[in-house]
Amino acid sequence: MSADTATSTATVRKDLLAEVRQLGADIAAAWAQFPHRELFWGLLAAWILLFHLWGNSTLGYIKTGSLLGWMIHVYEWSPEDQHGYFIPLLVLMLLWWKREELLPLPKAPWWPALGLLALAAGLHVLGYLAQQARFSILGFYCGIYAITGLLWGWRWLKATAFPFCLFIFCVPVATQSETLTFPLRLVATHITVWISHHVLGVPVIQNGVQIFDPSGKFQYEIAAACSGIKSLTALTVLTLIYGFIFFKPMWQRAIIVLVAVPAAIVSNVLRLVMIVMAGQLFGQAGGNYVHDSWWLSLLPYVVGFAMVYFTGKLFTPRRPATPAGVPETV
Amino acid sequence: MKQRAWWVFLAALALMAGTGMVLHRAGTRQHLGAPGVKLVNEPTYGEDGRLVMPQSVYLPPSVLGASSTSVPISKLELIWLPADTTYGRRLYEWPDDRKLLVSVVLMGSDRTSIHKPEFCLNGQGWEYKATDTEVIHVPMTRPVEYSLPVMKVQATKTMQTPRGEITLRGMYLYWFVTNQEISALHTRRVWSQTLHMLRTGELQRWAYISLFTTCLPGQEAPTVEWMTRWIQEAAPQFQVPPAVPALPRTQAAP
Repeated sequence: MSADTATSTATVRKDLLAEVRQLGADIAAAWAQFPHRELFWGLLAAWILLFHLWGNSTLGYIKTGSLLGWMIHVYEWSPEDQHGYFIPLLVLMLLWWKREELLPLPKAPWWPALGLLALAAGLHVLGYLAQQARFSILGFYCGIYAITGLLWGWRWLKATAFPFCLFIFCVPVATQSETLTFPLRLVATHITVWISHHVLGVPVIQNGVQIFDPSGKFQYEIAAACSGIKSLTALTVLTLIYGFIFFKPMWQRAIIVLVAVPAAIVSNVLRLVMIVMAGQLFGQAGGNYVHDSWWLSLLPYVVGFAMVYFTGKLFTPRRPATPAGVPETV
Repeated sequence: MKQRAWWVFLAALALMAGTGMVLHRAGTRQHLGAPGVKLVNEPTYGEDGRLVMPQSVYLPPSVLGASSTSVPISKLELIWLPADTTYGRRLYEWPDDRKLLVSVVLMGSDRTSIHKPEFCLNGQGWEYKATDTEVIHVPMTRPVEYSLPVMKVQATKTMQTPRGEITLRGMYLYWFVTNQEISALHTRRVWSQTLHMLRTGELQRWAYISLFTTCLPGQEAPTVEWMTRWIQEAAPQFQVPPAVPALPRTQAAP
């Protein structure tokens, strides 16, 4: 490494560190504007403790009674649900993004939020009694939302309803969503086989959700992980955020969110076609490489995101052409 | 303002403490129910010969003159189903080449052992419409008289063979059973399990019993009749009495 490169790397690192420090200071300054911060931490700690000690009642297949432990177990077991780890961060980012709207709000304790907290507790009790930890997850996040409303009032609750709604995506659904994912698997397999036959000229055989090469060169089962639930969830979260931030009419938001479904199917079909092509050219190992490679797996989703973005562009009013002779404002 | 905040804080804390007490009491009464099928100390093995479970669900070795062999559990099932799942699986073969695959999946404390059954058929290339499914009632005489609700699915598959294309029917019968209830419907089973859990604190230990065979188009009715006879003969041998009716004690719900 030359001296110049080393100096520029050090400068970049220094700048980055300064940026991070500045962000930390900004967050601390924003947080200082909230009243009853110590009570918030106290209630949050008590709420987490409740869900840690009596969080799930599953009979021993998870060696912890903690709801957080149950969530980690399910997220680790089912990679299609692992976006649950990132949703809290996403919610915090959205709150930060909306800070100019949220910080000036008058904040005062609001008794009726206790009803919301009771509802959250009730949801958890129901989940605990019926051994349905997914209800408890809803109760957990609903309770955190209620705690903020309890200390900072209804205006805060109203303004933060959308970011908090995103917590619903923390509920792991991959193993419960066969009704949705199975048709997606079949549709993706049908389209992939059609494209392979009629566009690429690759003579694959379909058996349900399995794809074979007639010569036995490769064989794939379109597993639940390839059903599109992962991409569908990711696309739904992103389209929700995109729709709610950039569009006001509900019908436009609804269309943006609905586009997530065909976008997820297109992304999955592209991924499967890539796997079939690699299998055709390089055998099973080639197909496996494309299947397992994280960066190659991400490529088709660019197309999905592009579909959503360009649908949004259709709703964005075009700037009227500037009449001749009228100077453009800068 | 400060005082109001403290009152709100204390009220919320009291609510949380109360919830904790309710949950603690509820947790002490929860337990796993008894299975509705007989277990034997015969080990179950996977496709690769690995020991899956030292126990298995009993299935009679010979029924209606058929001999049977134990079928290992597939790799995919072992990956997807929880480790405390118990299996029973046998392939029955008759001298006239008829074959019947019988499978029992018994859940442990992890309820995810049992899924909606039809997806497996679709996944293996068998196609069927909603009209191809119906609940039939098998009259049972042992150990007591009752009507066993069974879901019948008639699926179709077209295959390429060296002699051309042939169409086969896949006849699939299944039902769910615990030591107290029988149901042919997955949704009813889940609902019943949830209600029972709420009411008693007992997690019902459901078993999912299925029979599968193939036949040529036109042979569906005699095939189902023959499968029904198998159920009448074999079910009393592996299903624990009185795993009979659901709500009314003499008539099982579909």
